Amino acid sequence: MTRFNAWNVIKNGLNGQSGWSRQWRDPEPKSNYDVIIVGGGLHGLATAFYLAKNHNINNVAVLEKGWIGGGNAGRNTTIVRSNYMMPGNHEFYEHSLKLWENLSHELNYNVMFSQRAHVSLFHSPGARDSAARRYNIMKLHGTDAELWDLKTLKKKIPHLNYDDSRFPILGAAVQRRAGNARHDAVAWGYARAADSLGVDILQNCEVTGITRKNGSIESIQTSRGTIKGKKVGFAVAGNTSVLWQMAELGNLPIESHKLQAFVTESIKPLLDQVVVYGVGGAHFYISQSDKGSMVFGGDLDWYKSYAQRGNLPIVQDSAEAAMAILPCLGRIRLLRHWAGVMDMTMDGSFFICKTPISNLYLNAGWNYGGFKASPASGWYFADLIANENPHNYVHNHNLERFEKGINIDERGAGPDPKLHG
Amino acid sequence: MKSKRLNNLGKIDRDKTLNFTWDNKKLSGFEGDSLASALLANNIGIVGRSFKYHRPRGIFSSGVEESGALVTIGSKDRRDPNVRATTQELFDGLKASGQNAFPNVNFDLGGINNYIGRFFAAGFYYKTFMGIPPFEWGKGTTIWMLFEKLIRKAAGMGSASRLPDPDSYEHAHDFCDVIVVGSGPSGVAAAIEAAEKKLDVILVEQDSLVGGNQLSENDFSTSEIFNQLKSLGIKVMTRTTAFGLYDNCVVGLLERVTDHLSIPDSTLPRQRFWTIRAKHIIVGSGALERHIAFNNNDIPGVMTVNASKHYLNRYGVLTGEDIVIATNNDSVYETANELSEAGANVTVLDSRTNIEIDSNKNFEIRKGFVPYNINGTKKIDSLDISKSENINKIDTINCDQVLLSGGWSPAVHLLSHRGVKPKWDPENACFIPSDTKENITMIGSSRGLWNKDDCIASGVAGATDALNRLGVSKTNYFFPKPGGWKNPIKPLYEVKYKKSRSKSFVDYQHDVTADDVRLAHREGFISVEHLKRYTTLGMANDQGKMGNIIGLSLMADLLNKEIPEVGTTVFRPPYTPVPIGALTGRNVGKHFRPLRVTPMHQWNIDHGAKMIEVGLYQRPWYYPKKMKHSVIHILEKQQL
Amino acid sequence: MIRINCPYCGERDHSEFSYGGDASIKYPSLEASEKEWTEAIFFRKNIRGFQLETWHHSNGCRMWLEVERSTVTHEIKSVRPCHPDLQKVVENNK
Ligand SMILES: Cc1cc2nc3c(=O)[nH]c(=O)nc-3n(C[C@H](O)[C@H](O)[C@H](O)COP(=O)(O)OP(=O)(O)OC[C@H]3O[C@@H](n4cnc5c(N)ncnc54)[C@H](O)[C@@H]3O)c2cc1C
Ligand SMILES: [Zn+2]
Repeated sequence: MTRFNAWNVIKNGLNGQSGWSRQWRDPEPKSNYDVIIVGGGLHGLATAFYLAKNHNINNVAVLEKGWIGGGNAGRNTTIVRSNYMMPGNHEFYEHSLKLWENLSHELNYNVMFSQRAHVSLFHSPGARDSAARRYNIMKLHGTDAELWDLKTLKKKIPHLNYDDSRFPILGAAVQRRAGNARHDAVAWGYARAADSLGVDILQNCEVTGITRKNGSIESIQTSRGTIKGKKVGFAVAGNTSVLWQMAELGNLPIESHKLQAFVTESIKPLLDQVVVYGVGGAHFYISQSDKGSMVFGGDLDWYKSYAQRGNLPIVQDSAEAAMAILPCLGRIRLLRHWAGVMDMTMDGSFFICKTPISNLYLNAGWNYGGFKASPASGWYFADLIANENPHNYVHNHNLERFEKGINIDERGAGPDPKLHG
Repeated sequence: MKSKRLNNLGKIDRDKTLNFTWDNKKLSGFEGDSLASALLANNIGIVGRSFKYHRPRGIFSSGVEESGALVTIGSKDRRDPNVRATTQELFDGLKASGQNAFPNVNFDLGGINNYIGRFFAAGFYYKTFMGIPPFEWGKGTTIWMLFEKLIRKAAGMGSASRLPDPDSYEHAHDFCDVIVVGSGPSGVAAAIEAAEKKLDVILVEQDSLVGGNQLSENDFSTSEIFNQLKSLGIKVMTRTTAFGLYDNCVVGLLERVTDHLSIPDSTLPRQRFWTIRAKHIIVGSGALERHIAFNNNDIPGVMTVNASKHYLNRYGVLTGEDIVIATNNDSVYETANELSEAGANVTVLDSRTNIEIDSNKNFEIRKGFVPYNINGTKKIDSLDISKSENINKIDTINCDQVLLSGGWSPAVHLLSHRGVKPKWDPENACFIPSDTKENITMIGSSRGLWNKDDCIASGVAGATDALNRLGVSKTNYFFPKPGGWKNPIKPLYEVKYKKSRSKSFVDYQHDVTADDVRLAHREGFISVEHLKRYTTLGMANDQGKMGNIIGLSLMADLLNKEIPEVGTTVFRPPYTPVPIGALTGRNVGKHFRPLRVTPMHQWNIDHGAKMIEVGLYQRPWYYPKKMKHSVIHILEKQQL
Repeated sequence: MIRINCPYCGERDHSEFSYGGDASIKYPSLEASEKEWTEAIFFRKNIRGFQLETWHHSNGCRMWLEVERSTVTHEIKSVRPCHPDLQKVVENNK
């Protein structure tokens, strides 16, 4: 594999780009693997990479029904942050952020992680207090966090709506190390790195059936034939319930909802940070991609759905929310909008855990936040599969937590999946 | 390119002169002009610069598929970047300027990128900028973020104003039995048929005039049709784009109310966002002409054939003097005639050999020839041509314009919004719409029909389909089958350049070349969506309306597959970009959310309370000290 | 926009309604085990296809409705009041 660096880019510029080859192979499925990961999104690909890298388990296949990164991996608004406060969540997302910081070097693939700061606006003293509480907890755990008063905020982002907004902007809670990355590149980078360690990435390989025998999975039927794996991991985000029922496992604390995303035409730099806010029932986040598009999103479509397309009310809501803080966006044009199917959970936190089937492992429940989680998710899911024991950070991120009453509810919204984000 | 205004032809009003500026230069056009036609009438060839290589860009089309003529209009808080000059109506006092260039589009320092372009192949940025060159030393994100700053500055197209948008926008709602999208012959036939059968019909047309592609015909009268539609009680909405189809036959429309006026009535909104709830949707959104990939196929002066016909017959502008038309299908011959009658010296290169063309006449047809390479940088000096078999330069034609027709792509976008995949029609070399269970019917050229009679028949059939599905009638109907040319089209997507490092553009705005597609293939990005994301093909403002099929066909070729096996890309709403202001409507500023108040609200205000937001309510936070009865005091007393 | 045909108000935009969730959940008796209650409150079938669900016509008649809707295409097969007695009334008035 040709290494990615400026030297080779220049060399290939001179030789007509002839030195590059496939970034990952297109192998035929083998009949047996040590580990099969279902789902070629970020979590599946990252898991395969860390299985090979951290645990020397290389006889691994990632099964993807379409093309890798085609699910939520390639549909999200790419915000990476670690401003969590619940035990387990906090440590997990902070580790993820640390992995992000070096990910381009680790994968030898520029995933364009840009630590341009995550600026979370507040609009009332009460909201400031709760932001202060959350960000103080972060600081106590050694994570960077700061509060910007109005003066600082105005200096950093002068064109927010300070004069005419329905909800006055009072300041912001900021995580400077947070930012955006290029979603496709992360999927491809993990795929290429995992492939070079021997992982088979099998695209157009849909899991259509699961054969169980004596409490474990014996084989998996796919659109490319039957495949056996000693261990099987599910990392299929919004489609988790479908596979779960294929394995005849009944119900899950998950509902699939759709979340829309929006991009505008490219414009010259207008916004250097990720800006988010939630007030008056609105919830909104926006940043500008390196290509120049404003990328934004808001709430779920508010009803359960497996459709990857959105409806008008939320288009309108998100536009309103955009104009509320950046009134200059009125003349900027929306170029595309789409939706992804989110695995929303009953407490807004994820699952990295064992299952009632002895050789089946579950990675799911990522809500709005699975993009930033991908590196740590792969790391700890690989760890669980390899070592059979959940790491301390994720030992409560299992399916039994509800019965035990140890819900990990960052928002305090209760068992209504559409209210978590 | 030498384009000029003629004394005859066109649907413009030569008695009404409109003054406008282009890059601060004072120019004039006529009422009825688009910004693009006015620029062409003034012989302005370069109107923009491309995204990556900063290559000069001219006007490629006359409609929504435009990916070259993106300009900035207006100034200060009314600055609109990335406006398609082809769909912007000219008005008196319009200020337009080039963008993505320094100091200007004619001479742009960014043009240096073109010379070092060989290092900027598709996806090169994933391979470097991570660390210190040449071996990417270092850790963390610091070095990337230094590069990123420069990249961000260079990217983007136009620049946006940072001031609040001063215009107002409106939301509006309506209901109907049938909404017809497009006012071409098929849409008009469908609307009339449905209205005559007593259905409540809305007809939307993105253009300012009804007629669709007939507006490119010399003897077409738009007002006649308009009046006929009106007399039947049809609600005709011009300057209105159906930008998206949503669940249960709900259609999102954008109506541009004042964008064409020099001094709008201040009581009017700039634009209206309509939500239409229909019972049936009939789409006659037409077809878009494709270009052909060959070396330097982007030099200003390159245009689609149909665009040139529009400029001639709608705007009275002859787009060139010495014109070469390159085609693989029959649709160009009428235009060739008209152009030569208007005084141009026309040569047609037809990639086909066994064809019968009954045309008279005063232009040369070279059968079995294809365009190979354009000579020139800012304008066309000449065109190298090749035989269609055995590609190699064998001759050069001096010319100032090259018109292209690589076939037509039905505009299946709206149907794609509903998740319906189109099917490939090899005979006509295009994707045509598949059937859907929903109450949506595709008619006319957006169904792959090329001649007018078929389009009209399909309109009537479409309306009958709607009537049947709505339970109004039970009538048999049939759709004409796709096609309609005398000689079959012969697929021609790329004429491969013999020398290395060619610049054969597939996607004009994003500078995606045929070589980029080949590189993507070499690196394993072979699924359509990977191809699109890796090369950014089809990700520009036009969502690949012209280039997508070319990209697909190149990939199919590389994989030794047929186009449909490679797949289709999914078009997302909106069909053409929609301003965020229009989607927001009146809910701006203080009207973002309602304000709820308690019965005590006025008292609190009167007593100087500092109010805070609590959900949608405002409540007193505290009363500054000089108050007699401070709430804090009361609260303390009551030990709350 | 999903259009929901409210038996009281006629066909309306889904944005007039609030989504209630899975209508097939049966809550167990108060004496039931913690496991049963956990299952009822936290666990879902999460059907990909037609499912029974509740919607509240919160900006209309404020009735709770039971809707059979596809979670893939959003197509609606039936809408009726949640309350069985009201269902009967609506049926009889048809
Ligand atoms: C609009 C939107 C915005 C978002 N914004 C953010 C954000 O700003 N920050 C953030 O951190 N997160 C965000 N997210 C969440 C994040 O994208 C997801 O949580 C994350 O991508 C999920 O993990 P994944 O990449 O593994 O999932 P996916 O990419 O969905 O991967 C699952 C894969 O499984 C495959 N699959 C499914 N069924 C089968 C089968 N039977 N056989 C084989 N393969 C199968 C699918 O094709 C898919 O590729 C957003 C999500 C959306 C939709
Ligand atoms: Zn009602």
